Amino acid sequence: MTRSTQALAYSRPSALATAPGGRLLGLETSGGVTPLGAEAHPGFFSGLLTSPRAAARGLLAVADVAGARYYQRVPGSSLDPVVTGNGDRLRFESFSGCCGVYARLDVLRDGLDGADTGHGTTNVDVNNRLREALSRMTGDDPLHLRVGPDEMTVTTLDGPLVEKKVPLPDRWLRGFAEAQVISAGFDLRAELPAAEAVRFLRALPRGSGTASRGAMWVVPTGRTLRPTTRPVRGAVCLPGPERLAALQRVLRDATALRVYGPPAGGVAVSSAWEVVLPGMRLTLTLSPDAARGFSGEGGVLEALATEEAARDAELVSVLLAWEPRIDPAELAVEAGLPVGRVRAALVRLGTAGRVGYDVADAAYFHRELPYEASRAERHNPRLVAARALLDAGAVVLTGDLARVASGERHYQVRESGGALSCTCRWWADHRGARGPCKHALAVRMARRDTVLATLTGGGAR
Amino acid sequence: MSELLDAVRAGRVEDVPGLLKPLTARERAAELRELKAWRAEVRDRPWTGWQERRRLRDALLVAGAGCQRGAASAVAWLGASDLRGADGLPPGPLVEVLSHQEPAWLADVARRLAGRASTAQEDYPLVAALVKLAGCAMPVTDALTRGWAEAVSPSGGPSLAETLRADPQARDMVRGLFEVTELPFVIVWRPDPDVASDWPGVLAALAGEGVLERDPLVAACLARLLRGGRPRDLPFFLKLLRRLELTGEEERARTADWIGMVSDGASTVAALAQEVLSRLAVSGALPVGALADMSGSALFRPEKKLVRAQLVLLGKVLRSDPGAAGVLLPVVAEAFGHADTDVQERALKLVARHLPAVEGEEARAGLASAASLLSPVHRPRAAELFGGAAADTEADPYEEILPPVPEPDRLAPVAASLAELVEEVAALSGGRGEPSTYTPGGMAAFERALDGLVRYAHADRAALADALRDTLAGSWWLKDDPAAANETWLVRLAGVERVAAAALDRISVRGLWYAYAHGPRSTCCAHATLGGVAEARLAEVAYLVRTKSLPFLLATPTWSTGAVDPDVLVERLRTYQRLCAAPAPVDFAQALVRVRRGGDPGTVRAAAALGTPEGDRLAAWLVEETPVPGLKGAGEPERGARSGDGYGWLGAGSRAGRLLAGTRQRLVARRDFPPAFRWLGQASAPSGTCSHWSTGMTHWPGVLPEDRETLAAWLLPDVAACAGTGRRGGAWWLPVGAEAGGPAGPALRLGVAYGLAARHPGDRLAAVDALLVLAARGQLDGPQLGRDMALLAISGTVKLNRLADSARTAAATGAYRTVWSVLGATLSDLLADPSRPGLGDLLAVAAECVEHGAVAGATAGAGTGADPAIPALAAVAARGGSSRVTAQAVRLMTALRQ
Repeated sequence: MTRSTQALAYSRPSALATAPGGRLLGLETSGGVTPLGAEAHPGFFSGLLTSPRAAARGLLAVADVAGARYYQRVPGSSLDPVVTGNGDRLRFESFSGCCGVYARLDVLRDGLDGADTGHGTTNVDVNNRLREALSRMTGDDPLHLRVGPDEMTVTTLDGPLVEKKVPLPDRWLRGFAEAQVISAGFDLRAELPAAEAVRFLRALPRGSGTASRGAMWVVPTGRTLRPTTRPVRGAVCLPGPERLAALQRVLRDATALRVYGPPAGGVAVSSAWEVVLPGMRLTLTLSPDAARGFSGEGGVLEALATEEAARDAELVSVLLAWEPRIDPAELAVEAGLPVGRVRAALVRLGTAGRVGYDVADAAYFHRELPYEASRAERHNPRLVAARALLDAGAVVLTGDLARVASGERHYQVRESGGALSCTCRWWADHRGARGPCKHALAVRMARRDTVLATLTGGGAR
Repeated sequence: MSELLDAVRAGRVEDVPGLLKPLTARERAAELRELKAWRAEVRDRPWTGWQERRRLRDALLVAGAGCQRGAASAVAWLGASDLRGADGLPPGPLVEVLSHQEPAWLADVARRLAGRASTAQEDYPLVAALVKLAGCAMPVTDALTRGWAEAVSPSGGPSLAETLRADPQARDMVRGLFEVTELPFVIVWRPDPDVASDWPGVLAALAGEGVLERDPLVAACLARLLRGGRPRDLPFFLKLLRRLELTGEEERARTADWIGMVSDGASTVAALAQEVLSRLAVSGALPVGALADMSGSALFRPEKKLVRAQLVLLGKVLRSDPGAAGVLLPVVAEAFGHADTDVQERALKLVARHLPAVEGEEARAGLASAASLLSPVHRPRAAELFGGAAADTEADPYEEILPPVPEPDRLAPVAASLAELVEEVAALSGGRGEPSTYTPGGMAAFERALDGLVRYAHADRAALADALRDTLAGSWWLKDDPAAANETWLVRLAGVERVAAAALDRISVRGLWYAYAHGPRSTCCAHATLGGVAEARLAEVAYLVRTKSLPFLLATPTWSTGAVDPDVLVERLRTYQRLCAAPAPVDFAQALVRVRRGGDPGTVRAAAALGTPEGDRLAAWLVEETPVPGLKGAGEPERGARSGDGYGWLGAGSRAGRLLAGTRQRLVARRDFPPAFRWLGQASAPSGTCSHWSTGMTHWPGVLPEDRETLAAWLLPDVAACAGTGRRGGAWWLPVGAEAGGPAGPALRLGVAYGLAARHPGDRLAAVDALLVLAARGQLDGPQLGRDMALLAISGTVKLNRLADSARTAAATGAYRTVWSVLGATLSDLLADPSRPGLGDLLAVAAECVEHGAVAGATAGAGTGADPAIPALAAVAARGGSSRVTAQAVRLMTALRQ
């Protein structure tokens, strides 16, 4: 597995301290980007939290997901959560070690006692002492939150005190970024009031051992969700229900549960589960199977296969300034591009970890994952394989049909209604549910090359 | 060549330290270059026996490590995978060659080795030795802690306590045990709570001796429990805590930890914390504010036991300190909304007793408003307590929520081009066509591909073969595989692959004919009968593709359930007539069985007007009544004994009280249908579960899409086994049956009754799906289902708690009226014996249904199926006592009277 290493250096461990008039939650930061450029210890926020207990629980849930592996539970190191200041809200994000669960806690303006936040994205230290201290917070005493270095003491430090070196697998990075792009296709499917939400989430099967329970289907019925055995019409897929365990932490403060998902099509798909808390939202996005990370879903491969989107993405990225909600129409005017191309550019930026998607707002938001993420997507195995096929001249185009020679076999790629289908094993297994196969991708690239060649008057590749 | 290199090349590890000792730094650097070259040479060498390989490798490793200059490069050398075996590094010689280094250098190497997550566990012995040499602190990491735990765990030698006493690093490493994400297996594997010689016992004992420091141990253990973790690890920490026997002072000092555990811990951890806090609260050491905090968390927990214990504790505290009522009663009132009415009652009693001590109108009003969460059974009492304030609010008019009536989808038309067909065939090849479980779209995909193959073979078989050959090139039967020469394998190819193989001339006509003419004849179970039909169709199509190709298939379904529209079938027969094609017998029989009946009489006339034998048979079939299977108890005669009057019984005698279904004789099926369908006319059905390999189920519902009673009769033993022997997965067909056509009668109803009592939740869910779909389609005889369930329960075939769980699932979505229609009848039969286990649960679900308005309006009053329940219910409710059955009977009575 290709991977790099992420080195984090915090000026001291994050801690919950007792301060006059309440408690102080000091979250230390390491590395990241702000409007001023890269900073070693950016600071985004200092102010009161409106619902301290719920916020503490939400942070614990995000930390739980960061340290979890819901498939093949081998012990391993995990990465710290990422925090983004969007001006009016703080977003804490984490991604599970198995690449299948994405968690985000959005602390909105209401939850921040109306205060503004800074802009930028960085890592925050979460350590065992902090987790214990947060677990002890069962009351609602006032809590002051600080994200970033303490101005009073920062000058007295002469070197980083907490260093973490964590392996950063490519597929983890790809999955983290792609979870955003996948959730961009979600719509609100159900909303449950607090009591029903508690009942539903508590009735879910708990994970025990390594076996996943597979996908479960639930149908919005009345005020609640009815579990069912099959993907009937209107059903929402709940893949690997044991992976929602992190939501148990915040149930006491939950005011509603919202479910987002793509239109049901009979196969297991990913879905997002959002618990509404006072002034906050905690969202878990699940991959279509506990054994299947987001990285292999291939939903973005077609977008990555075009160079035009890459150039547009460059242009669009310059215009982003940590907006909490990106409006593609507005961006289109600024960039002088059609809205469709801006959307494609946003998908591209999403795969590079440079925008996230908020299903509750149904909008992208700007954040720059503090990892070297673009490399991972460029080296997507299927994309690399498709380029290799193309370079080997394995693609022969004839009208709607194409023949792709791969190894000893020949595959037939057929176009109908803009979608490509193939006769290979991958297609037979997933029928396009996990993105195009390498043959279809190669054909897509070959077709585009032919179009370009005709336009520029050159010969076909 | 130097002496050192000679020794290394000869694999003499023992000589290496001595040869290295006199070398200077410069000489060592030179040797290292040689060693690296040797390493490259050895790496690519083929295997020559593991002992030699190990000797060569170890010698190289030790020599190279001794020649390294920097700590980082030394660790890189030691960590290289080609230089180490599965058993880690040899610590003895390595320590010998490294001992000349500075302590700081050694400490650096030890730290780096400990930081390598993939190797630190097995390198523990070397790290420990280096730390000893350097005199530094142990670099505690997760992986190193695991290695340490393995190294010190007793394996025949000295006991764990002795080893730890002798280990100078024990204090540091024990601390590591509380930081690892998952405890090493050697520590958690012994579960016996009374043994003192296991890890928790020894650690506690050593803390007593002073070998380990007690305070940090207590703090770390509590912190770890607070943080949670893998359920498997928790018993270790719980046992350690118990063995440490905390003093009252220690317990008091950590109140916040205990409260945190009550709030978030696993149930065992929360129970322990609750126990400690109760002790503190009763002794007066817990401030009222903290108790309120803890109670809020405890009362929110899902475990009833913890909630009850908390209410008991609150009662005790309130008795000794009535002044605390103002702070504690609002927390108690949070339990008013608890799902269990018993908990509600306890909370209400507690509030009633201490309400006088609450001062201030506002606090009382808050309690009164919380009382609206109470179940109706407790409302009168609450109204008494708070005045008229708790009178029940006017509920919305009741609305029964059932799933939408399922509409079958029309099957997509056959592949429009050869390319599309080839894609479909590829998708169903290589074992994917025969999934081991039922998939909703599986039958449709198979039917479309089969029809497509027939059509394109009829049009131009050579073109079809060419297209298929390319696509299926990876299949074993197209390769020069010895198995591919054996026809007995080829004629058993699953699904469309067999037709493809036939079209590609891989099977001889003789082989195809033999398979066609000698299909399965057994009628022992659904695999043989329902599966046999699919098998016979494949054999027929495969044979005809090569000999006398059909223009298309008659039996291709019109709808996703498998049903064929009668008009479409008439049209297909007309086309056959026009093309002078002869319908294939199995194909036509399947088409007949699939055709939807009870439609337009014009269709019957049109079929008869065709003037062909098939047209006449269709016309006759369309007006024939489907016979409905009968039910019987196991006391009735054995299988076949009553077949004279047209009944055959299945599964009889296997278990007293078991209810089963039997099919009736049908002459038309015995006379006119090909052998694969003769079982349809037989007065028998399977006599129990079989041991066949479960495949092909995807096709079964599609064989009888318009006759779900017969389908149910054949599949009933499977679902009965789900309830009886706890088999898994036998209820898969219930929702399919509920959506299928034909009358819904006793066999399907019995299937639902068994499914609702299945052992596994997935099977129960399938039965709930079926129940709700039947209710939505207006095809559910609720009272009769309830009586069937009561009969099964009285005979001991099904368990009431499982039925109650299914009923709760069904009711919770808003189908209270449907569930009550079933439970009312069940209860009226069951209440004669109130001692039956699980009856309380069932009564609770019934009461919940009635409280939600299941009996309001039209169904209230005399003459409904629920009424007979009332006399027996009154008797049970009047018994007095505090049992759950009585309490829930009272609740149901109250609800019914309102």
